[in-house]
Parts: sequence; C-alpha cells; structure tokens
Amino acid sequence: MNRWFPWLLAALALVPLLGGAYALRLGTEVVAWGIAATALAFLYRTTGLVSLGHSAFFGGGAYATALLVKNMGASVYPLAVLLAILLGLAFSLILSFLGLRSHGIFFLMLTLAFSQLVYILVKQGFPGITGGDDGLPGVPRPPGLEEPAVYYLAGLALLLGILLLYRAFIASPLGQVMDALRQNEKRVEVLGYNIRRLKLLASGLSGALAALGGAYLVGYRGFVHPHDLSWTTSGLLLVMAVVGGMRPLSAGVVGATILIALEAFLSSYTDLWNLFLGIFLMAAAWTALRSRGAIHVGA
Amino acid sequence: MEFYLFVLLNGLAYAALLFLLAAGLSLVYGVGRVLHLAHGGFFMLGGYMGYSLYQWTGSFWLALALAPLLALALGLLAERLVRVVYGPERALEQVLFTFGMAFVISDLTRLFWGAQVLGVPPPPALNRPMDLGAVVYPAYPLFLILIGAVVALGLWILMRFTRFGLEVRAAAGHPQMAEALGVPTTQVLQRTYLLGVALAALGGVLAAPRIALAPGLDFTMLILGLIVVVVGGLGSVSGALYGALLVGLADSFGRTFLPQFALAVIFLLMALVLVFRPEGLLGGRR
Repeated sequence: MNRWFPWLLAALALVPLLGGAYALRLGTEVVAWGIAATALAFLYRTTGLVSLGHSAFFGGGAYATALLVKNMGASVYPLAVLLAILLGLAFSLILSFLGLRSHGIFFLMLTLAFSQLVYILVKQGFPGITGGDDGLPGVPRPPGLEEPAVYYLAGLALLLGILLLYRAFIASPLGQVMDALRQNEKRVEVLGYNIRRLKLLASGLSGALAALGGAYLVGYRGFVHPHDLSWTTSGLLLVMAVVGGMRPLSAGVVGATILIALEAFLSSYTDLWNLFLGIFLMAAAWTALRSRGAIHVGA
Repeated sequence: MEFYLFVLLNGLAYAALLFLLAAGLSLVYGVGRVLHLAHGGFFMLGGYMGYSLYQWTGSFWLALALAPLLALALGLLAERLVRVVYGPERALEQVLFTFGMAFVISDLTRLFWGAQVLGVPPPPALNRPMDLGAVVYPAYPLFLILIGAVVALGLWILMRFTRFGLEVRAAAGHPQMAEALGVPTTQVLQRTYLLGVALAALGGVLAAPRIALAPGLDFTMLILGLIVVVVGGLGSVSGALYGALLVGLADSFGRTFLPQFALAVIFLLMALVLVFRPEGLLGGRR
C-alpha cells in the first residue's frame, strides 16, 4: 500500500463527523464501488486478466440480495449476502472455465458478452421477478445497521478487513506464485504450477468480492436498477481500477474515491458523464503506455 | 414449411448485417492483434449518418453510398488515435483505449441525435413483397442477403488475389517474418482498420430500415460481433462469415421460439463452441 493510503482511509473514517447526509452518501458509494473495483484490480494483480463484465457480479450481487431480502424480510440479510457471494463465485468460475479454454482475449470477450446477457435477462427476460426496466425499490436496511453513519462505518471496517486479507494473500506463498503469474505466465507454468487452476481461483474470488460490493450497495441504497448491470457500470469499475494503478492493493479504493468525487462534481454541470468516462479510459491507457512501457496481459 | 423458410430468410438477412460488422472486427484483430471494442460504435454511427443523409437528400441510395465514406473520414481520425496503442504486448492498453472510444462515440451520438428512436424507411423500389414461389417475402431483407453475399465474395477476392490481401494474410500469419520480408505491417493494419470501419458503417446504414436506431445499439451490436468472432474464430474473413451465419440463424430461430431469450440462445451457442472448439470453428486456420 502507498505511504499515504492509510491517511485516505483515516479521512474516509472521519466523513461522518465532518459532513452531512450528502457526504455520508458519497462515502458509502466509495466503499461499495471500492470493494468491487478492488475485486477487479485483484484479478489483474494475480493473473493479468482484465474483465470487461464485472457489472454482472456487482449488479448481480445487488439483485440477488435485494430479491431475497424483499421477499423474506430484513432478518435474512446474512443469508442473502452469503448467497450473493456464492452466486458471484459460482458464475465467475463457470465463466472463466469457458473463457480460459483458449487465448486470453476470449476471456475479455466472454466477460463482456456475459454481462450483457445478464443485463438483458434481468431487464426483459423475467420482468415479473426482477422488476424489468424499473428495478426493485423498497429494499430494507439490515437490522442493527439502520443508521446511515453506522452502516457506513461498518462498510469501512469491512473494506479494511478485505484489504488486510488481500495483503495477507499476496504475502502468502500462493499469492507470491500468483504475482509471478501476472509477470511471466510461461515461467510459472514451466515451474510446474497449474496456471489454469490458479486463474480459476483468482477469477472466482474476484467475482465473489464484486458480488459482496453489490450487496453492500443495495443495503444502503434501498433499490436496484438494471443500470447496475449495464456496460457503463463495468466501464466505471474498470476506470476506477485503472486510475488507482491496477497493481497496488489500494488501487480499487483510490480509484473509487477519485471517480465518485469527480462524478459528483461533473454531473452538476453536464449529463455527458460517459463521454468523460471514455476520455478518462483513453487517457489512462495512454499514460499507462507512457509511464511503464509495455505491460503484459494474460493470455 | 413456409414458416421455417421465412425464419431462415430472416436469419440470413441478419447474418449479412452481422458479417459486415464482424469482418472488420476479425480482420483488425488478425492483422494487428487489436481488439477493436469501438466497432459497434461505428456500426451505429453508420446508421445515424445514414438517417441524417436520408433526411437531407431524401434518397436512400445516396445515404447508402455516402455514409460509409463519412465513416471512412471519421475512421481516419480514430485511426490516428488508436495508432497510439498499436504494438505487441499492449493488449491491456488497447482494450482500455478502444473501450473508452466506444464510450465517447456512444455519448457523442446521443448528444447529436438525441435519445429518441429513429428509423429510415426502405427504398421504394425494395419496399414491396416478392413472390419466391414457396413464400411471399419482403424484398429488402433479400437485398441484404444479396449485399452480404457480394461483400463476402469481394472480400474473398481481395484476400485471395490482390497484393493487399497477400500482405494482410502475411501480417496476420507471422508479423515479424512479414516485416522482415518488407511488408509494411503498420500500414497494412491502418488500411485494414479503415476497411473494417467502412464495412461496419455500411452495415449500419443497411440495418437502419430493419433495426430501430436508438442509444445502446452500438453495444448490442458490439456484443453480437464479438460472439460472431468467438464462434467463427478470430482473425479471418471466413471465420466471420461462418460465425455470422450461425449467430444470425440462432438469433432468428431463438426470437421465433423463445422471444425473450434470443440472446441466451446465442450465448449458449457460444458456450458450446468454446467447450468443444476453444479457438472457434475456424480458429488456428487462416
């Protein structure tokens, strides 16, 4: 982690003291998106794979939680979140099982296509269950965390826990191998590791973590909308991870903080937010090329 | 029986549009290893420019001829930008860059043409049913099938019998060797890119009377294009052709029998191909 990253976390922890409801809302968004962007950055850090469809897991986790809680009451929250995480894990494993059968570019295309499939199915396939275009309103808060400040601080603690686990994982022997996998896949394979299994593991964990971020988002926001599953959501998550630098542990949170602050600022002036998002992506690609020379993406 | 023939012809007409889209996607990847995620954006731009040209000139044929040329001009500009990320071992940057470009095109299109659904009527000469003996079928989709076949034949001749085609195949097969033998691979890639963009825009204009122009069309088409190249195999025209035929037919039959789940049917097709032929149907061969 960067030297100043703990200060960012400390500043985030002080948000409830400083600002009003608006600052708290932005802070909670940072936590939710930060968790999902960390999932995306984790996948890159450990395998070199880039997913263009993490909205399927992020929004999917939100939908799974919302459906269960809405139909069975707020008391099933722990179960609902667990189910969302398991679904994220399972679908991510199936998807990478298919996508990792050949060249890495197939993984990219498959993640993109899968997220669109989920989006269309939720939006048009089962309007009776998923609410179609309108999404699902009226999702209750988890019991004990009704107070926005409490919910926010609980999320921050969760985020901190995730980052500490991430650090411990990278420091472990398995994590070291996976760090090496990103840098030189062939050598890791020649050393006798089953790289396909390692990639499946990283992808599954990433999907589960993104689903957790979605579950956290819906618990605070109280509704889900098909937009959470759309390609712009995937793009936003990707921009966050890239702006944060992809490789550092802090990438997702730093990126989420910057992008959410920027969105709050820009959307009061213009509704062309996607245009700026696109320009950020292009600029990020360009600067990444300038600063680091060629970097390798898993194949 | 007539019913199935009807669905089959619908599928072929859709396949023709998908082929125009996917041929460029596949060739650009084959020559430059660049996954051009803004390709759906050029398809949509073609459609919207066709709409404006039609409104302006009142002639579908003029719009059909001019929109790809306009797209070519825009493609020149886009190519200047994409050039920044050309090169081996730059897959991440290329994906980010072209994905960002797709966002930019999507929002600029919404800015210029608005969010309402637009449409172009088919040209009067083709806006009538045709008696095919077994069925009576609208003429416009038949025209699409014809165009698809002509473009496929033209591309095959281009790839098989011209200097440009030879260079494309050389650059796709073995870039370093081609470079060593004096093939200017970067220049070949630029021309391939422009060809792909023009074909996508042509597909967009042709699609305008069949598919409503609305925001989100770019992304829908990009996804279908990607599925086509995954199914057919990346990097070749013939892969795009077979992929487009399969996906077009799967879509047409899917829409008929499972209207809400057409995309799921296509996705299932792709999953099956990935399980049994991970490189696509024609992957590995060029």
